[in-house]
Amino acid sequence: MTKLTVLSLAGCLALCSSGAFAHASLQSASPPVGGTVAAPSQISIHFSEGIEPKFSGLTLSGPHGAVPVGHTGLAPGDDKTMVVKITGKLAPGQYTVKWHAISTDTHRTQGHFAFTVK
Amino acid sequence: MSSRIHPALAATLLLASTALGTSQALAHAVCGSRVFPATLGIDDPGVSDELALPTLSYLPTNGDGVNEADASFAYTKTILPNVGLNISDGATFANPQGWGRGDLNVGLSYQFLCMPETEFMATIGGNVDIGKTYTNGMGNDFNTYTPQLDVGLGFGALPTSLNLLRPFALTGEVGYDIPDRTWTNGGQNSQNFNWGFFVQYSLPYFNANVAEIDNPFLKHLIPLTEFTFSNIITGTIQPGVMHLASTYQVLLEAILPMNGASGHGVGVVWRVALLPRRHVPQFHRQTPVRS
Repeated sequence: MTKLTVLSLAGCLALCSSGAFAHASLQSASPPVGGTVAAPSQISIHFSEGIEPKFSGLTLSGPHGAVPVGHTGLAPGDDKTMVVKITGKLAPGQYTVKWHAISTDTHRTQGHFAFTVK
Repeated sequence: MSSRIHPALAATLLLASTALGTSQALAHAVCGSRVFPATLGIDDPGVSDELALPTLSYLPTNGDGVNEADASFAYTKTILPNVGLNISDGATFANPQGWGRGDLNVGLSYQFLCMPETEFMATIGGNVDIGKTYTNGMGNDFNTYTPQLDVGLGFGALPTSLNLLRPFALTGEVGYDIPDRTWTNGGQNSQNFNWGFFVQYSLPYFNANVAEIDNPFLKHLIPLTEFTFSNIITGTIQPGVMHLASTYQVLLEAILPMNGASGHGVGVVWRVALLPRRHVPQFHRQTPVRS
């Protein structure tokens, strides 16, 4: 192996620009993932990383189809927690939340989970 | 003209590159809601920044009938979107031969597929095992080139009626060792078809998609089992468990040889992989999101 090869390798490792890899993964949610709750007025999801609310959001569907939700916001002083208001009162039944999140370093994650309103 | 590099210089360069090159990193690949962690025998099917330091393993009797212990590191750095450069090296202690360093291994990977809805991703790459890296090494006298394909498939697309199966995922790898010299000291240098897969049941995935886990330790665990083979005739089964946190991952596995040609007795392997940007925050750089 030539010194030039090693120097090139080390230089590239040190200086080449990197893509960002801090993906936001769901840590907890309210209503809880798979949980059974009284009709909630909002959905909040806590992630492992800070998120960009302009590029993050969720949809909610239930026994009667899509449920309108408000704009995506953040919990006060907490850029890791997405908060979305639910428009109207949820009837009893199972609901599915489909979320997507762009972390503050621009990486996208998505997922879905269900909860039940008693 | 080729000149041999001094090991101390190589180590210094490597440490410098590790320290300076750390930016934003994660010790696993992500596609949709699925995390495919790097494991011991099977690479993850994506490209990311990762420092695996150290990996320690012990085999009471390896395939050559020798008592063996290994210590190694591996570092991967993304140099372009979906393109990563990796470097690994290590030392081996064999009884009664003694210890020596293995060959330096460098490679390039390209993640060419990620389908978030089906949690399917794939990466191709190639590695070079550089023979005679060290004058006192236990490596080869020749270079070995290994083209490689890694794929991962999560079961998250299953219907919610099969919720308990959704945390399962498979990662597979195939590679082929091609030495650049057919014979060495009268012995034939073999071409090896290496392949394997591992099955994981991800409790972090369970927590995020199926049902919340209250225990803060348990929800970071991934039980898994690796199956690695070489030329079909030798291989190991490695059951273990990974603790996957946002700043590090720790993996502990038992090594069970599949037959006498693969070794004897139960070995053990342990690896810690770091998230460099969390440990070296001064090198953390953020990419702003444009609105």
